[in-house]
Amino acid sequence: MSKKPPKGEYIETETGNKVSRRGQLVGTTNIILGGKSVIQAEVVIRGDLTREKQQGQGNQVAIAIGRYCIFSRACELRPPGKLYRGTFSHYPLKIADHVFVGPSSIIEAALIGNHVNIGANCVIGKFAIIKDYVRVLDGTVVPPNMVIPSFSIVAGRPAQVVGEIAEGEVDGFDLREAYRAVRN
Amino acid sequence: MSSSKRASMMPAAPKPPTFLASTLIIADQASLTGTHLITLGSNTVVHPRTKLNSTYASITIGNNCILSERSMIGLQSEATGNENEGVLIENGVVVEVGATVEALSIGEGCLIEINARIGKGAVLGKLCLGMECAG
Repeated sequence: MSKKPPKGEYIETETGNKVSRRGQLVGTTNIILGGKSVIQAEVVIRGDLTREKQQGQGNQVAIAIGRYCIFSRACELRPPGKLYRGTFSHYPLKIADHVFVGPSSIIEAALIGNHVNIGANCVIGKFAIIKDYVRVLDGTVVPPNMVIPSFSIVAGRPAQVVGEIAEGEVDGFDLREAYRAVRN
Repeated sequence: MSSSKRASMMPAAPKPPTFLASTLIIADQASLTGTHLITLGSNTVVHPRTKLNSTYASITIGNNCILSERSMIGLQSEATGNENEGVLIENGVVVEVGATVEALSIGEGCLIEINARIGKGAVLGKLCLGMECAG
């Protein structure tokens, strides 16, 4: 990059989301941002991968994201898809509040709970369910359909629970400060 | 690139000769570059940010394939030996996010997993799983 972009890097929405101009959001009508989330550059969010069209259904949510979520550079959110009764369909990806996703991680989970910290270069397989207060260490590969219980630390390829989060450590998961630190 | 408003300093990459089937879905952010022939079969889906690079050898992709985001198809460096026959991906192959495929041929119905890398000259049979996640 030769020149500094004349405008700020982030666009701030009415609900306080900070979305990088270089983020790649596809199918934005199917993406719900709860507010005060940060989407950094080169993040790919695939809102266009929705459920197979069904009658009587209006707007379809592909990706629902809660408050104070931070998606680091070049990570990717993609709704999981599978073949069900002969038709291939994508299912919604739900992400709750205070979720941090490290750079270059690829998320195809079905559900990610509150206060989840996902490191760099992780792969979260299709239809994985991560409950609240989970720490996924760098480079972890969570296999498809895995369910990770609350307060666990996972690592490895494939992912295994390697530890627990003690009561006192819970404070470190609050992302409000990190949100405020992101400025143009 | 549709996302950036600023013009690139570099001249546009050469448009490769292509042979595209009519029932093919290519995202507008996918990139097809190079000088050799790129052939894409019918009912194949090319997701945004997929890079098909035919600078060093041709690319042939069969019917009903899925090429996901950020995957890179085609040789990434100079071909040696029989690699200049190009990259052949047969019917019904799924290439997941971020995978790199430089293989000589990928058999029917293979699944190349997330961030997998299939190196030069590799030959995969039918219904193979190409793993090597993350990294």
